[in-house]
Amino acid sequence: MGEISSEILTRASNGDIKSFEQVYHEFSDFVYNISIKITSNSHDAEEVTQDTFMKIYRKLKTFGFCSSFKTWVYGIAVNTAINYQRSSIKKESQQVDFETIALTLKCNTATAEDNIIEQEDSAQLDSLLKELKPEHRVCLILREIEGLSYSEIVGILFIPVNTVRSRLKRAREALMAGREAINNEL
Amino acid sequence: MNCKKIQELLITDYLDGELDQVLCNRIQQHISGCIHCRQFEERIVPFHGIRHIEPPTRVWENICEKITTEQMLPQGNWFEYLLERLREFLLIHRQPVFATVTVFTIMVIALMSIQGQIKTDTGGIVVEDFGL
Repeated sequence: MGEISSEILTRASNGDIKSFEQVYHEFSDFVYNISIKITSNSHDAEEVTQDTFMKIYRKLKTFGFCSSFKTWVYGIAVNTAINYQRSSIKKESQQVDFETIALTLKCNTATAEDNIIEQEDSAQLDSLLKELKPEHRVCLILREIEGLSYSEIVGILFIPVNTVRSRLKRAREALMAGREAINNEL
Repeated sequence: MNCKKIQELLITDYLDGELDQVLCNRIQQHISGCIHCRQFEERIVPFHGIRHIEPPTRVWENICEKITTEQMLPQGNWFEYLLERLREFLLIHRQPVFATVTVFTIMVIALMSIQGQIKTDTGGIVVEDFGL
């Protein structure tokens, strides 16, 4: 995912929908996937993606080209998703405990072998991620899934690098504990 | 560095490639001689099979629709905008609006005349039933 040209951004900020579509296609994958990981729900992720791009569209004129556009977009996406998740009343009903995850994984073991490993890893990660605090989850997603460096995460979340470090530590410790609990159940 | 610090670095900076080579070497040296830290490192397994899903096409369609609607809105005064839209509406739907207003006026006049008729019949006095 590269930087988008300033010419396209200027045209998009002046209301050119074709240029904004290019911005959308450049970043929609990231925005949608991070929204899914934060909200744990594809319907909510669609809402967050729409809200994020509407915010980007409205704020494009205020983007001063002083910072990286990618970082700017990521920041809006992450904050929109976190705020959406916090305000979601469904949050409690979406919580899944490790026993439930283990049961789900047990049920999946009837399909083809290659698919099982992939499905289990993915299902396991999705389920374990749900157990993390949103701020820990975001740090982990940005680092492990999006491959961003600590300094890039600092630029997106506006937190000190030591906070990034401690959130990653806590998230990984929780995931390790969760994964071990699942393996013990299986 | 003690084991606690080594394990902290293993699960953060070391794993994420944020350390310089000198520190990496020190950690590797420690791990090779420390069973606890080696076991801890073995527990850290990165996740695989992370699916990247493309957003459905309706997401862009909805965004596009919202933008188009916003572009039709004025940048300034909302009151002026509403007046303008009302004027446009009246110009386009002149006949149905005129018909509706006429019917409504006739109904109001009819209601008022019926009410006046009732008052005349009772001499303008409201007759109350005291249950006598």
